[in-house]
Amino acid sequence: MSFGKVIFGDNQFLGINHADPEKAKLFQDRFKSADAIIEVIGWAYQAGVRDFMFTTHGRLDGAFREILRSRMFPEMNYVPCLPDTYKYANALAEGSFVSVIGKRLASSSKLGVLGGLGRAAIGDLSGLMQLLVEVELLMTRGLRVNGIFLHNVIFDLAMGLHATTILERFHRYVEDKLFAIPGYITLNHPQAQKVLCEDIGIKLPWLCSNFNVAGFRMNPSLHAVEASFANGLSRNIAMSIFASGSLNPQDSITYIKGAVGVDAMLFGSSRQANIFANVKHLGS
Amino acid sequence: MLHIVGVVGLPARYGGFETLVDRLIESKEIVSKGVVVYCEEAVARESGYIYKGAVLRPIGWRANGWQSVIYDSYAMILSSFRGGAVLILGTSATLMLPLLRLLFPRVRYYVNMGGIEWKRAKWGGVAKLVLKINEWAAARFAHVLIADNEGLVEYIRHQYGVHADYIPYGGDQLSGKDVDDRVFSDWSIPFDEFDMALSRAQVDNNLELILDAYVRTGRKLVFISNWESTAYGHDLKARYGKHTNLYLVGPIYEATQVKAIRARARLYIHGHSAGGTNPTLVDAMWMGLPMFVFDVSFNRHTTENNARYFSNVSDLVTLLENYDQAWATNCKLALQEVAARKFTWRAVRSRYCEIVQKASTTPTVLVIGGGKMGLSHLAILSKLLSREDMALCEQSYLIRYGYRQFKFCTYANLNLALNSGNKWVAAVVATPTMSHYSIVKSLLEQSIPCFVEKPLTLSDTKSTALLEIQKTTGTFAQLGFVMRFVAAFVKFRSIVKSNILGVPLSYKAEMKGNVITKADNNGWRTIFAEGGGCLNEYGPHLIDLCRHFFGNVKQIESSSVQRTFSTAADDAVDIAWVHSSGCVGQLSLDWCDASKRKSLISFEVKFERGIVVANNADVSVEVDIGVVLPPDQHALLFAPVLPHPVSYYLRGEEYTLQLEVFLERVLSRKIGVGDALPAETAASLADGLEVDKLINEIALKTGLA
Repeated sequence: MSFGKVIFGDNQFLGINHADPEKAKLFQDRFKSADAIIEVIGWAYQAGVRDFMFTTHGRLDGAFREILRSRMFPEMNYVPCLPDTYKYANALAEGSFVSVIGKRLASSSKLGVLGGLGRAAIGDLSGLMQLLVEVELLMTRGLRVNGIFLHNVIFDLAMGLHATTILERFHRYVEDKLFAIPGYITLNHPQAQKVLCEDIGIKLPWLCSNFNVAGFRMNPSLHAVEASFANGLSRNIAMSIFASGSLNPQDSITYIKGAVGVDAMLFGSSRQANIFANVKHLGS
Repeated sequence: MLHIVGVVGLPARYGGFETLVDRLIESKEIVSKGVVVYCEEAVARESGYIYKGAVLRPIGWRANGWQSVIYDSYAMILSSFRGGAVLILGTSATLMLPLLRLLFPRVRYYVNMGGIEWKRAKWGGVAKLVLKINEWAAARFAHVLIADNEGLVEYIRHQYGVHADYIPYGGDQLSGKDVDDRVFSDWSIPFDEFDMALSRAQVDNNLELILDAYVRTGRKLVFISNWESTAYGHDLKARYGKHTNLYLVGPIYEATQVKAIRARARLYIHGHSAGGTNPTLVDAMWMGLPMFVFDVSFNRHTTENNARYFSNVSDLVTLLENYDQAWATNCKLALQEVAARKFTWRAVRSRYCEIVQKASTTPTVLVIGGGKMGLSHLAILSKLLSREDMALCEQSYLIRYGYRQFKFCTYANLNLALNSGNKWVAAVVATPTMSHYSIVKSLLEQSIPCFVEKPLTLSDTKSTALLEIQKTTGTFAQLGFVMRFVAAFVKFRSIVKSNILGVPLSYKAEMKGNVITKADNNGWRTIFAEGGGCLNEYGPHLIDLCRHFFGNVKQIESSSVQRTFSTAADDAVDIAWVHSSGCVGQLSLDWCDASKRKSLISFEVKFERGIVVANNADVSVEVDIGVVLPPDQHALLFAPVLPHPVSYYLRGEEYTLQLEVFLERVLSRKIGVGDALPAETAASLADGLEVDKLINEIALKTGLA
């Protein structure tokens, strides 16, 4: 199992643009309908992309149901990144966290839920991680799930808390029980390598991290991240390669094509012409 | 003081752990701290109760057999009473650890697992269960777990999800020592053309398997063991002793005599099946013996797959029949290289010193409050410093329990933390605003530098009192006005201060987000008097930024609040004011804006020679027509906004930057990785007080207070 050279991302569908909040707002309005989302995924599929990486946001639910119903994009692999933290933050703000979780748990595997709750009850917090995966993957039922990634909000927090047991259990659970590629989104690539490879002992983990010519969100430095991409200890997906559109595309593509250790590239776009151009240049 | 538990005694004659201790106390660094080794009474007496500078403390029980549980337990209790660090070798009594950690919270326990004791064939069902529980307790409750073999590290990680530090044994203790050839005549051993094996007479060392194979091949084997010490050994010697090709000798404790046998042997057979790193195997590697080794992961790790491996009698017979000199030469060279690289006592000693040093670190930075902000601060700080430097103070048992799963030191209340005897060099206050006053007061009175989440307090009287205490004690304190560290706002402030566009004349500032999107009157967030409401939540950020950019506020012209969902607090606030500089500002706060994915701050500022729009992500500048700027000024205005790199990213650069700046100030050393930010980026208690005053005034004017 692996990923194609170019992976299509979903930030545009969720109204995320790290460089321009106004643009983000426009995206948020445009992609309220499932059809608008499917149309853009279709452009990526047409351009030859076969991996779609997405946050488990409720907004994509409708689009996935329609894709399954209409049997669209038969060769597409789906790579969920979990959790969608805003979903939980909003549920918390509205005081309905328990009902949100309860509703979701009710429709996931009862045995899995019991196992997770049981382990959590005896102090093994990795049981909670299993529950989280169960709950978050509900929306991907019926889809060809190729990989499952932990979102940087959770992964970087887990590293900060030295929660290596939980991370190891996640890795094993995804690999052994869900038969998918476990992966990690991080904004601390060198640290992530240390924790996963040295502290936990995972061989060649998949990491998805910012990688761009300007050093945008490459911590602790552009040089350090370049070095950790190149050292061969992990397989790497470069993201934010255009730094949310704030960089010159040609410079960005030239840089990424010349970089060492980039196994795949993740980009998101809402324009057909951009999608075709990017796939052509990055995938060649 | 370092206490060492789990050995028979010194000098080393009885096994791997004794050799380890014997070598460890050769380190001046370790002995200078004071070392007590708990020994069997007879052995301690024989050695005169002191050995190589270590005190030998006698225990009136046997160190082996069933008594070993009592022997080790008693030694652990004695050492815990004396305090310091306890190095426990083996896991025969580690079930005591949960209780000891509860009773002696300041004692640090290090456990060297030795191997997987419960898997040894010599134990029965109940003994295996007890040993397994002991192993679990060691993995779960030791401050530091040490494994002498990489295979054991993997086993512990896989079984318990716990990281063990890998420290092997050394094997170079015999290099430079003479050999004592008298052993050949003493035991009637042939002088050459023999293979050798060396192990205790225990089932899991596969003595019978080895002897069987040699009976079948007829090759000469010198096997050193304590044959008469166990029934198993006695039986084997009776059954196999009659074979003329087998020389069942021993016990031989003289290192020079064992070395003499090793020096003349052509092949070493290692039958140990219980890991981790067996010292006899390492010794043989150092001596450059080619070897056939029982096939378990520990032995493969030790030899790095450079030996040949057997799992049963027929395997070994095949190997022996196919022995060839070319392979033996290559094997011996490869194993000697591994031994010299991995198994030196100097490296082992230095790793032990390092670990003891690290684990002796007591926490120095206290995070108060384990909620969302406390969690984020603790995670960042434990990466900027280390987990061992951090402690958490949190009232909720459940939350403390959660943090303890990640091995954080926790306290149930501030008094316990302050009276713990730890030297706190800094504290981070991340509790609800209601409690800030009493906590910050306690910290300042004890001269503990603190970082306080915004706002400072809910009353300017209390904030003023805190400022007074701070002045009296001269303690550093920083306010958590995190928005000052957002790259776009750092750049915007530099534009304002550069005066390139002239002075700011007027501005509109807003902060909007989706904190409250439906009616909910439960909890403090929607009660203004308890620190809730939009003015208390968003107000400090926006008001502080306005002061940070444009200076003190001279007068509030007007203010009004709207209630969308809350009844005991405000949901939106509009303010108009004028700064001392004459700049006029209009502020708008709204925490019920469902169109926002997350909170967004934006400024639109009219300067004398242009307009600047700034938000969390970007700054855009429009210079008036006709204004010509020199290149450097043009570059400053139009350079793209790039976030500062940080040493650890979580949530946003600004959250790490504010803590990096705080720690650099408190610890007087470089923590951050990027260029230094302007000194005034960090907010002081005085800034907090000014913001509190403005919030109180607005609250009074709008009837909130």
